[in-house]
Amino acid sequence: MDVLDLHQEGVLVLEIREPRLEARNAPEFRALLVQRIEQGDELIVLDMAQIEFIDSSALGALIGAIKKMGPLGSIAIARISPTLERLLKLTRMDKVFPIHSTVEEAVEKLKA
Amino acid sequence: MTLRSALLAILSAFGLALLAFLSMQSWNAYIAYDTAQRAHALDDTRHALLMAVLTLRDDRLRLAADTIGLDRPPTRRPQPGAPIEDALRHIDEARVLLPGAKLADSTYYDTELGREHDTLNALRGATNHTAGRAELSLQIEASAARLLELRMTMLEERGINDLSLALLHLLRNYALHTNHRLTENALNLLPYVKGEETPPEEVFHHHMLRLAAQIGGMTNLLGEVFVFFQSPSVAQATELSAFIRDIYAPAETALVAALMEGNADDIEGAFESWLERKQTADAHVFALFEEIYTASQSRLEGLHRDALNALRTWLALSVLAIAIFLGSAAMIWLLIALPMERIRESMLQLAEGDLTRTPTRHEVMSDLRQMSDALRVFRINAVRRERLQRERLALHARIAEAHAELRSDLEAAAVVQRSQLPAPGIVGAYRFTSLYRPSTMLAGDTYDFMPLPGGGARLFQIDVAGHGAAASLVSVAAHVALKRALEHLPPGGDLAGALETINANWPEELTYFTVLVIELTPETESGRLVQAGHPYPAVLRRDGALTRLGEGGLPVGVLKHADYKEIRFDFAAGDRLLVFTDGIYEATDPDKRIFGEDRLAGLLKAYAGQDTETLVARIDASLQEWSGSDHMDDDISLVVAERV
Repeated sequence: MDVLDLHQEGVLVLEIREPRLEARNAPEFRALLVQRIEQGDELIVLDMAQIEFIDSSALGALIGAIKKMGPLGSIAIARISPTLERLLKLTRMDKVFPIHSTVEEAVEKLKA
Repeated sequence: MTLRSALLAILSAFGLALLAFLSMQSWNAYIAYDTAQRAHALDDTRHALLMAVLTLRDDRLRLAADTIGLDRPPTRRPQPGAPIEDALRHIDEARVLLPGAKLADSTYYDTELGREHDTLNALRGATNHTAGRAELSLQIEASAARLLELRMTMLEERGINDLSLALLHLLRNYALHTNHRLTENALNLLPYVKGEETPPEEVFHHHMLRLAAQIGGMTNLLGEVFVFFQSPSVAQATELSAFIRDIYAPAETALVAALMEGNADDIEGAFESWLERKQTADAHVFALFEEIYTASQSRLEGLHRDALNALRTWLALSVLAIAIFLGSAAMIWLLIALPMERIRESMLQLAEGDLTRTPTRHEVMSDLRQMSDALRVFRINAVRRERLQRERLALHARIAEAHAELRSDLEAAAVVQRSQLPAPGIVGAYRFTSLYRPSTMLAGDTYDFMPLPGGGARLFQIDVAGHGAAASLVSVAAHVALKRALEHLPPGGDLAGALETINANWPEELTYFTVLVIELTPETESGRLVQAGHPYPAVLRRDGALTRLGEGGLPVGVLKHADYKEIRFDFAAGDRLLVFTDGIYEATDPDKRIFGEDRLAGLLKAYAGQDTETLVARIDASLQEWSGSDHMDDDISLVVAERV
């Protein structure tokens, strides 16, 4: 799975360079997130600009990852497509993973 | 054309050429051998004839001496037998030897010799009478001349191809002529030695000139030609020549002179002196003949021996060459041709996949051995490959067996899962129609509907994250949990609260699921729904208008403390409620483009006028057409409820 790690002001920004997050790569996606969390990254922004599709397995991976986090940890989502934003809103995941239109805004909010 | 046949062809050509060469050489050696043998026999024959001639000449001298009453004939030796007898013996001897010479005209010579034998034999009777002695002597000489002629023609037929033999031939001829001359002179002088008659002048001159010419010729020949040949024969001939010139010739001249004088005492003295020298001269001549004969025999034997040795050598070489040829042919056959054939056969066998035979032979030639070894390695590899293939097939069979077992397990599980699903039909005041297409045998999707007292009905639909066996087990658990919770909930009870309880108690280790719970009440023509992450249900109104219900909600199992909201909606007769999982609009075509909610909405509007069965069938067909097969990536389930 092609992911670019970038630390911005104590926040880990993960740029996910995949078109689809689905059953095929969900376990890898989950493992990748868990590994970052275990390394101590409690504030993570997922840059989803390149993602076209997310299925329930990938959502499960996201949920699995957030459950690994401590009470102060948080995962925010940036630059998500409108269709996917609709999906996150349907499942109310936007309450769990705050959605921001830019990475900077996400970093800013997480720090606050 | 194979390598083997090429090798053997080359070898055969070489062998045949060698054989031809050796045969030719052997044949030539044989011819030389045969020629030498024949030359030897011819020389013997001719020597016997020469002896006959010399004996006849002696006989003439003896007869002439006898005629004048001389008890000592002017010849070299005392005669053992009667006149002519010795000559006959020599002729017989020659006739015995003649066939060995293998002359072309052998019969002719035999006949001629027989005739001369008979002629001489007939003359024997006349030798006892003194009368007609002169005539007899001439007849004997005629026979001798005839024998000499035969002797000459025999040689002419065969020819002489050896220089030493040619020299000996010349020497012999010279000796023969000398003998002839001495004999003729003696015969001419003898009638006058008793002194009754004086020889005429021309006789004297004749003898003197003939002898002088003879000696002169001989001297020239010896001096100019034979001097180069250092042989005993030449030495002896030179000695003879010197004797005649210096000793005999003066004595003969003195005798002739005395005869011409007519003084009886002088004649007596001169005759005695001449007679003694004549005998010595004869002895010289015969010694020369013997020497020549010995030399020619030795030379011929040498040639014979050389020819025999050459023949033996060539035959031995031929045998050796044939042996070497056969040996090398056998070597090529055994060390190259046969191993090549074996390797070729093994290769063909290997190529045909026959691995039964092992090429165990250890070839002598290193390159063939390498080929053979390589072949063995190929075979071992092939055997190993075959074994691996067999093992792989066995493994495949085991996997297939396990797979079949697993599949039958899954099928049994699928049957259990399917048994949870209610059959479509009328429940309470509502009619339910459904579409269920799991992406694998076991699905994460499930649904149920149940009647309520008073004609109402409840419906729920669950979609567990993921799909397959794990998702299906979770889905069964969720199904059971929800069904049990709803069983204890009276009509009009708190749907959201029931779901919150399930969420709160949902085991952490299980995956989350989305769910939609709906209660339909006929008398109020309305319904209530609670949405937990599930797609917004659609209501297709009687007039064809399409609305989507719900405000979303967290899936069950994401957060322990989730609040769900109950939403009320109108649901009159003629309205149709469509509840579905996301698989329905996330179906992808081969290019991974999703079907989408808009396309689904369009489809519903387009077929709003059709009855529910047709509508569901159209949706099913459209999805299959979109995905290009009847297999979906995600489970699809659709439940349609309408007022009866």
